[in-house]
Amino acid sequence: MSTTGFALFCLIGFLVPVPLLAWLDRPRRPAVPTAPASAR
Amino acid sequence: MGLALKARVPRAPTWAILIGTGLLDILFGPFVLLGIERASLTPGQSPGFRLDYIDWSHSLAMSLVWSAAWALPFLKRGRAIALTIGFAVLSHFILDFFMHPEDLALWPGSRAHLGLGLWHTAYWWWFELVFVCAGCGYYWVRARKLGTFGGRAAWAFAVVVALHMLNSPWLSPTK
Repeated sequence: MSTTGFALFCLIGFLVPVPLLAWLDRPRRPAVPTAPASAR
Repeated sequence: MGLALKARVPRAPTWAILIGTGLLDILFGPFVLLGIERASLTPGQSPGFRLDYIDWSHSLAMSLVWSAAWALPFLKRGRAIALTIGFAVLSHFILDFFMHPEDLALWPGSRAHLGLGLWHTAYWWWFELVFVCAGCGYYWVRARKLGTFGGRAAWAFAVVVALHMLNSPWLSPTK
């Protein structure tokens, strides 16, 4: 591996997992909306 | 560290925390490609590379600057969120302080350099693994308790451990 490859490895290594981890972080169940006061 | 911070302040956007924790290395990549910073590969000698000049991405002063710059756009979402995102960036410097071998300058061009050099020990990867598991474990427990984030926390834990495996002395492309 060259120094250029190492620099790209650092750049990509930190960027690529972000969307995957953000997707895995989403709650499984959507938050239950609170009924408006007029409907109670 | 990023997932642990998310667990501590669940309202903070996950992507911003995760990019924050890696921001210094994300900057280091283009800085090396542009010739602003320098690194050399040292195959067979842990950790497989030497960081010759990383003052613009990784010095203490610049870490504070990058922390503030990354946190600033999130101030409108509240001080706690902006502080969390700023700390995510600074946490990279704090953790690097333990691992790096005295290559972290106080400011660009400073003669004084910091770093305890755990990377040059035989157990550096295991030390990092314990930290990874502690952070991910905290995230997993908090996700199960609160239910507002971490819908697939166990998978997130597994992905982070897998990434750490890829950076191990056995599998890393710099080995």
